[in-house]
Amino acid sequence: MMVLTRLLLAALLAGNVSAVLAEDKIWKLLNQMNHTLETGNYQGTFVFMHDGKVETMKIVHGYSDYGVREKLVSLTGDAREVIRDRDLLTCIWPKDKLVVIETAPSKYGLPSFLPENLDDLALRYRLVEAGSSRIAGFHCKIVRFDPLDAYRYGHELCIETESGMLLKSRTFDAKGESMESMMFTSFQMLESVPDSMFKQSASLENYTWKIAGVGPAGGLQPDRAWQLRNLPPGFSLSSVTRRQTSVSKSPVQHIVLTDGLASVSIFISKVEDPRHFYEGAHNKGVISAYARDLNRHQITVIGEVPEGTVKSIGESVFYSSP
Amino acid sequence: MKETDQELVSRILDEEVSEFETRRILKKIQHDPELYSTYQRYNLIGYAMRKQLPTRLNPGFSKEVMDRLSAGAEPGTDHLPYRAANVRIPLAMGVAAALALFSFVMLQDFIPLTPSSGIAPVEIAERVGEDDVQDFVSSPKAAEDFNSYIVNHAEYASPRVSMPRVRIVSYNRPYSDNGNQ
Repeated sequence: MMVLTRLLLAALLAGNVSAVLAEDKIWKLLNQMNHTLETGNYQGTFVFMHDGKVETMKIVHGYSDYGVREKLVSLTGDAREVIRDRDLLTCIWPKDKLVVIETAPSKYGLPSFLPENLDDLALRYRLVEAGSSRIAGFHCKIVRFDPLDAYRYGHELCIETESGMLLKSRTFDAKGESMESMMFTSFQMLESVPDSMFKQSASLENYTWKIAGVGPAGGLQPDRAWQLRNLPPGFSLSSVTRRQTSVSKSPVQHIVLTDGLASVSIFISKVEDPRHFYEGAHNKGVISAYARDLNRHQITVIGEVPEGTVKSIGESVFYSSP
Repeated sequence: MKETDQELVSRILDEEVSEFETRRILKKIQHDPELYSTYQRYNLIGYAMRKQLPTRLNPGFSKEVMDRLSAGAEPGTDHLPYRAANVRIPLAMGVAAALALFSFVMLQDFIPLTPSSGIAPVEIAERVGEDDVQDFVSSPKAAEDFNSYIVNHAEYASPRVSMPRVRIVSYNRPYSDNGNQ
């Protein structure tokens, strides 16, 4: 009997060890993916699907001592472009003859997609290694995050094992239905990317330019009186900043919440004219939004989460007078 | 449009073309509406045949796909080259198969890479009720803010799971004056 117990215990331990090792392998692959997405040199064409639309886009991404540069061009419809040049993001909308320039955070180190506390994440998602596939001529490993409740979406990733490149991603709801997906049709890692590949395609003559105000170094001091209570389970504060955007005269407070994978933004801006208030809910692909007014301020919540989650978060905002 | 360009488009989708040719043809696609249309059509057919279309389709999407497929199958005008992407089978069979598959996928989920995840459904305590759902971005001010906030959210908050700037290109300025929806 004792021998049998020992054998059972050994088998259980072996099972646990192999499960831990498998999970460790997945996290290493996810880390590699993050590293490649941010610090790799690559280009490719991919298809992006949401809301019944199929769009084709081209991406060029470069990383050097200069910093991160990236160019995304829509090959569908008008040639919309987004060019990131270190900490500047230039969005070009040919149909509207509009150029919008926003500042971007200077993240030159490893991206922070993976949470530090994996135990917390395990309470919200189940991590699954789900076989392999072949995308754009490359073999990739499938990793899936299944949501354990309806406050968040699931994610399925197909990661090329050699380069760590994300070749396909799919976001799905609690019923397993797809909300959004992206898949490369061609892809290539590069030694380096010449400057010319990051230049805008269109001539910007007669375009209207909107440029976000650049605040003092480090941004403005956030108004700490804006607080949150009764957040949906698993969501916690990630960052609070206050800065100018391209559309607001006064600074916008930006609160970021995360559950380790999904993120939600709360934008709080002062509204001088009450006619400009708006409220309600909105959904576009995987993005949900909710708006309300509070204390002469517009509260807008945006995130890659279900509508119920953004509404709960929107209702959790309150102003605590000092 | 030259026949060779059509062939190249189909071969790009099959990943059989050199990087130089891919770059050349993709650059050309941006300035050649006919070639672009061909590229889109092949993409769509390939997706329909691989059953990788999402469920949330626009009401007219089915008709659009059928029209596009029909456009490639006009009698006597075999626009689909011999080496068409994922449709190297004879044209008639390809169109029929694509339509059949498309009808099938209209009722299906976007086919995931893995089987259903079997998530335990948990009700959200406070769901957005139908009465609450007022599409606020119909207001011009809201639309402008929304466009800017998507950019800011992507840059400052989004995880790296699916390259957030893709959403800027795809979603942003969906409510501009020019109807860029």
